Amino acid sequence: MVLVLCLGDLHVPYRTSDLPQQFKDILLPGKVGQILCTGDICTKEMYDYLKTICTNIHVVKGQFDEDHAYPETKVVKIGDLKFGLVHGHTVIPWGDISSLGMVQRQMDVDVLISGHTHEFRTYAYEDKLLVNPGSATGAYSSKEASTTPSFCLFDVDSTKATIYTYKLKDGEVKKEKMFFEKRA
Amino acid sequence: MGWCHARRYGEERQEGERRCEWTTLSSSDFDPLSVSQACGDASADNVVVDEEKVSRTTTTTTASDEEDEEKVGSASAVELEEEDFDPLSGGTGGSASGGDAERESGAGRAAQADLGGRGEDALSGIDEGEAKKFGYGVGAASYTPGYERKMNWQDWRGRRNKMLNVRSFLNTDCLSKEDKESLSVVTVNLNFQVATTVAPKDGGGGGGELSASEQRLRALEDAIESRARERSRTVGGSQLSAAAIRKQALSDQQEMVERLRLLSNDLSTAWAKNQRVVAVKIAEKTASLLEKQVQHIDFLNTGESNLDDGLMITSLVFYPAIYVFACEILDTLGDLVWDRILRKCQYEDNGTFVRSLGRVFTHESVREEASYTCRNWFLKIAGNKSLVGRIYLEASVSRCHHFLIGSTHQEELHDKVFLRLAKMCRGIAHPITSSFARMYVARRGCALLPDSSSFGFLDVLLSDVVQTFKGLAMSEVNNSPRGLHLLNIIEACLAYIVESQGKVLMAKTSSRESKNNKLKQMLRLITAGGGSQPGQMHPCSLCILQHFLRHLPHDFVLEYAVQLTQVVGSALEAEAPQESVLTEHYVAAQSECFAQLGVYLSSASVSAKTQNVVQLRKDQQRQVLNMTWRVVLKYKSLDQFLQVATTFAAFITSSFGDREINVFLQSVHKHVHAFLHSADDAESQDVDQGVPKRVLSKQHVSQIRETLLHLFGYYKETLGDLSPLFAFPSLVHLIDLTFSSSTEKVDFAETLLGLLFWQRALNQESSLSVTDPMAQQFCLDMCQLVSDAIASDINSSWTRSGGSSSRARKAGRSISTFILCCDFGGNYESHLGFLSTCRRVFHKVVEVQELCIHLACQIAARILHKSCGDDPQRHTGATLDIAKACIAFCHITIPSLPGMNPKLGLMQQAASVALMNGLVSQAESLLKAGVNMAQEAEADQGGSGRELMARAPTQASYCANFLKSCASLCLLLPGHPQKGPLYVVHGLEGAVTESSDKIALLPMVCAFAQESLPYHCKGVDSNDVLYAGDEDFHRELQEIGGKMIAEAVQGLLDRGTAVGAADDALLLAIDTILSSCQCSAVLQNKLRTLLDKVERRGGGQYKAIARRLLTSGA
Amino acid sequence: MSLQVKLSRESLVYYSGETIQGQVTVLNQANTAHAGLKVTVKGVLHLMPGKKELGKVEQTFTLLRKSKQLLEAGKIVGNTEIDFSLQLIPESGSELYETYHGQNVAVEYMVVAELQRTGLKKPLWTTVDFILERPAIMEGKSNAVKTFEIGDIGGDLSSKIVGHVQTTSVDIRTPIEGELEVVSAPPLEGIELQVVRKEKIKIPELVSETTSEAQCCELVVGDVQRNLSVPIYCMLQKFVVCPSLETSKFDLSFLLRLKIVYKDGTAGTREHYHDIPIELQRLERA
Repeated sequence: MVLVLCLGDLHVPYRTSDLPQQFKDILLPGKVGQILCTGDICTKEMYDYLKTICTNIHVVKGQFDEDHAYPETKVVKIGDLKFGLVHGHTVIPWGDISSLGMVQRQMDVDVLISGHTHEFRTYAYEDKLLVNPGSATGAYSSKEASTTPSFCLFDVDSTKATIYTYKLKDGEVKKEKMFFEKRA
Repeated sequence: MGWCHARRYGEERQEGERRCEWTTLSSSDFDPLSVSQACGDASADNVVVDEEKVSRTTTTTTASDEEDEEKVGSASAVELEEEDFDPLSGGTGGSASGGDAERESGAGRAAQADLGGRGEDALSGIDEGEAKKFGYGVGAASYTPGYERKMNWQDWRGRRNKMLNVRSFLNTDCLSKEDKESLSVVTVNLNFQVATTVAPKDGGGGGGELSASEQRLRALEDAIESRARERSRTVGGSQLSAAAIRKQALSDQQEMVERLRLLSNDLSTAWAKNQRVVAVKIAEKTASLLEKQVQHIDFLNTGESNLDDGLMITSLVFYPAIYVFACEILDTLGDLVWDRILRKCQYEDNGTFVRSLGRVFTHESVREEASYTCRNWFLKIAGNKSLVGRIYLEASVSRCHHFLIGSTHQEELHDKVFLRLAKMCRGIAHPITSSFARMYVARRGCALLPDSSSFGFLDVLLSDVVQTFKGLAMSEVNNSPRGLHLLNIIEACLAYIVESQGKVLMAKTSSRESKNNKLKQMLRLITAGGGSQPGQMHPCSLCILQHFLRHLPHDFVLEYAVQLTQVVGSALEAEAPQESVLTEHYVAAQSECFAQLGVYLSSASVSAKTQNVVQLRKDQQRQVLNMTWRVVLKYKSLDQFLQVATTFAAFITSSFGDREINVFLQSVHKHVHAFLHSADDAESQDVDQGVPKRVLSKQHVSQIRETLLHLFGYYKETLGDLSPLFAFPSLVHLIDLTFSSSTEKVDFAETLLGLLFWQRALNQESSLSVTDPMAQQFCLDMCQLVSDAIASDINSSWTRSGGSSSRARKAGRSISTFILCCDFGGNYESHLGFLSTCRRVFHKVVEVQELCIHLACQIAARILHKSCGDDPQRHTGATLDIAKACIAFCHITIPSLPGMNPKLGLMQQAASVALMNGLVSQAESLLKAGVNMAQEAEADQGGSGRELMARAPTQASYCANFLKSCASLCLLLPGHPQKGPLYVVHGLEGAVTESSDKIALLPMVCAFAQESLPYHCKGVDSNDVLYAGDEDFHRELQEIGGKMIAEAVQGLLDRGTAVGAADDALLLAIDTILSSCQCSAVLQNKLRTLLDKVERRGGGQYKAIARRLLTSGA
Repeated sequence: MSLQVKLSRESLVYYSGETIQGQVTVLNQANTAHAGLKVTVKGVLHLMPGKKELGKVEQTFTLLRKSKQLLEAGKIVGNTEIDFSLQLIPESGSELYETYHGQNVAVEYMVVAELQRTGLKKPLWTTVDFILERPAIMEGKSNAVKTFEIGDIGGDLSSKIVGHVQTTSVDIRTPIEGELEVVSAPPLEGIELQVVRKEKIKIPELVSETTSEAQCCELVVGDVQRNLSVPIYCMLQKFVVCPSLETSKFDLSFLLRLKIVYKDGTAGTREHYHDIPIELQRLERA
């Protein structure tokens, strides 16, 4: 029963000043077991902040993470599920399901987590799951001036996962959940 | 090669989304983050990190991801450790108590290192001597179990130097210039290395000839006699001139000190030769020297000042030095005697070991021979006629009493010995001799009675010395330079005793009540009587009080803060009209007292927030402040004023509000101004207002700087806003006045920046926001100073390559934080203007340039969001102008950045933002510029894709990623009216040189061919709107797509069987083609052939692709 | 060739009636012939005339004399050590007084070893002193505190120095303790405490009474502050004093003398004395 936090596209301080306070209030240290971050954290301070939430953090390189030599992709096995992590700015077109599918096949993972669009999306694609946790800070994306802050949380139990998503709408945190099971 | 680009994009997506069944949770439903339980162990067994190297579409031979991760981890770890930059490290550091070291006035402080430890000892020579005598090797002569005898010359030298560098002596005005020079020469000369080993002379002593030490002893006696004679000679008519006498006096003193130094060596030598009588004689003579040295200084009747003032002062000045050496000799003797008796306890006369004596022993376990010897020693010492000699010698040998009473009976030792010695000191009438004797007794007592519960002897000593001091100070006679010296010397002894008593009190007394009672007693003793008005104390008590205040418990000080302040403040009220020599001294003492109080008050008010510390009430605080400031404002000397001001700064800022701080700053400014513009000659009243006549000393500057930094820091910490500070007009003036030289200014600026802007708080509330324009301007000036200074500094530079120096790095970061902190409210124009200023001012700092670009983009995005509600069509003229200005700003600034990374990313970001705002042409030009830059970069590096990858993989992959990202962005761009819809597409295609990379652009082409594009930018009509159904458009797309596929497939077929990364490329290419479009049968066959090439590879990707190929064929 | 005597007791303190033991060592290079080795323990009382009494002669009385012949005439081969023991029994009619070296009276004890040599060579001898003490007595005489008050110093009627001494029966091994306070006085140069001994010689040839200073301790140096109490603490030195004694031949008595040196106008210094008689005893240690 591992809790995995997925978030990304923070863009602090270049596009926004900080994570929303409501998110900070619920992201307390010690609650999650891992963090999968899609990138564009931009500064060391945010990375350190994420580290305080959980020391086990995996980050991939986004467009504006230059100072740190993050890898471009990462594969992490949690439970019996393989998670793939990529930022997604090299996926043409951005957030496209087939192109993401290509990446998923290339990395050979069960769940692909990508970002860059700053929009929360999930697709079930050929028995696999494609997840975009959106931007945790609601930073402006390459095509929209403001986005809804969101992130998601995986509760992994061998081949099953419960996915919770948290979105900040009108100052309130809205939560949703869904189930995913890997088919053999 | 047929293919059809129609794919069911939209349908697939909707299908994919639909299959995800989301249920909304209400606030009462369970979700893992709402429950406060820490689940998710980081070390879950199931987690396995599996690194795959499929990160780049092109080959990479090195740079494994694992290594990267390691580097990330370790780089950040290293980063964290390097963060030892202390924003205040540039200053003198710390509060006023750090200045303590400079306030020490000599003698008393010296012996602190001795407390609790054993004194200096003689040398290993003794061991050898004794060992040889008893016929066995040195190794066995280690009879010091648990007793450490270390030669602590460092300590001694330090102490001695401290004694010799008594500040007031060298600063005194009554010594002529030559004297001062000679004194300083003497001080330098005395910084010698006392010899650390003295080899025992073989052949033994004895016999008829006088040993060298005895000769020296004789010489010393002769010197004392001759000088006494000389003095009486100078009574009647001075044959020699005053200067000559002084010179003579100096050289005599030097000689004396030199002789003492040699004698101290002789002591150990003599002892080693068993010439114990000689050793004792040396000690006795030393004590008598201490007595006779100042005997001639008549401290009561100035009518008969038969001696030159200078002569007397010289003797006075040298007394501490002589004292130090004498103490050395006496302590050595004490140790030697102790060792001898200890040896007697443990060994027989012929050297056989009897038993060892532990640290703790009773008097029964001491051998009879040893106690007999011990008694003999005491008897011998007691037989000395001279009182002074007896006091000093008994104090030095007092440790041996333990042999008679047992090692733990410290109370007995105290009562029998030290109490008596303290009282015996009363028999010495001469104030200097008695004070120093008292100091010695105090020192030895504290050293030897660490565990005793009774310390009454210190009380006796203290009250006696206070009385002596006061008696001297209050007698009118001593209102002279000589009197000042006298008082200074005695003050040193007094300081030592006060502090010992204070320390002992702190350490020993258990209950707070008894501690406070004791302290009150001491206080009463110190402040008792002598003032011209009832309830007022004599100013000389200030001198004592300043030492007393040094080591007190906080709650005591705070309890009596008001009374203390009152007493200190009123002490000098009567003195005002008369200016005597001592007044200055007293004023200095007063300011010291105030400063001490300030330290306590400041630390109390600062720590009150974190702990439950006793606090003063508001009215009490106000009282204290008013009383203090009333007096302090009148100070003429900047030294003293600043001393108090610095310590009170923290108190004022934390306990009072803006009004008080304003007053504080004003008074500081006034004083500094007055100091700088005061002429030495009071007559020249035509002072040119603009030109300061004097310069602030380094200490002044650092004190003011400290205060200022504290103020800034306070405002940052507590208010998070610097605006109130700039409401004080004196602040900026003060800064200008204080930091006159540019280096000082830069230093201050750097420290200030570090203090204010080093920490980037993540929490929005606690971060500093600079809203006040004056504050912004001020900080900008500071930043500019620093950046210019660093630019001109050859040791550091602003270049990015190879990692800039830490100074530049820190400054860059601080400046960036400052820019981030500047808050313009909703005024985008001024914000942008500010950014342009920054860009201009910090044109060398790359970090800042990047930040400005980011911020400009942010402004543009924010305008769109806030003013136009995300719809660019709602732009007003004004907002659109600002947006254009932002984009223009980016357009100009980005090309000036060095290196590709993150230039290209910024270009793309700017292009996106432009597009969002509806500025299509700007977006296009930005994108085009970016693509050109990428192309040029490749050309610069030379060679085509693969070679480029080999040489600079990071940069190459960065360019490649950029181009892919551009491809996705292109989808948003409408076509060019003249150059056609796919103008940018062509450009991109041209930029990507490697044919295998070109296939990556295929999805873009196919996306264009859709009925509706996967995403749109609000307010911008993209190609699907513009060219829907246009046949030329689709044909062109078909052409491009077809060409791409053909080239790719051909290229892959031609390549033959390749291994490793080429397989990845192959698979990716096949996948791309399959995913993007519908393939004809021919194409499918070709793809199948290609796939077979890598059949041996297997793996998930292969299988998936194979499956897709199969299903698509069907 | 040389002779050495070493006594077994480290402290060299013996009591009447005890046996004194020791070793005589002959350091000898080669074989030497000798005419006998004798060891003697001697105790002598000296009564000396005063300086001013010319014409009078010192009188010596033997209090103790015991000898033993250690070796008969013969040869000594190399270094030889011989033990001896002698009894400390006084001569008839004498008493063993304590070791004391005074002005005109002295009592000393020693062990002499003498080696007679063959031929015309002078005999070799060596001597070692030792100390004889009388046994301590159980109780002292009186233990009262003795206060004193000194007034009328140099004609100044208002002057006053007060103080006290712990006891006038002083154990010779304990220090003389007390206190002193100057209430008012003319300007002082110093105050000293002297232990003064009075030796009265009774034998008809040398009748005399001498007062001499045995020991001196400074208590106050310079013009001390008024109304401040200064301790008196004086440890009696060995051999210059001994327990107060009255014998047929001589009397020894002691007193404490406070010597006050003060400035007399501008004409220099003068002295004022105050005596306190004391009794010295050797008491049993508690």
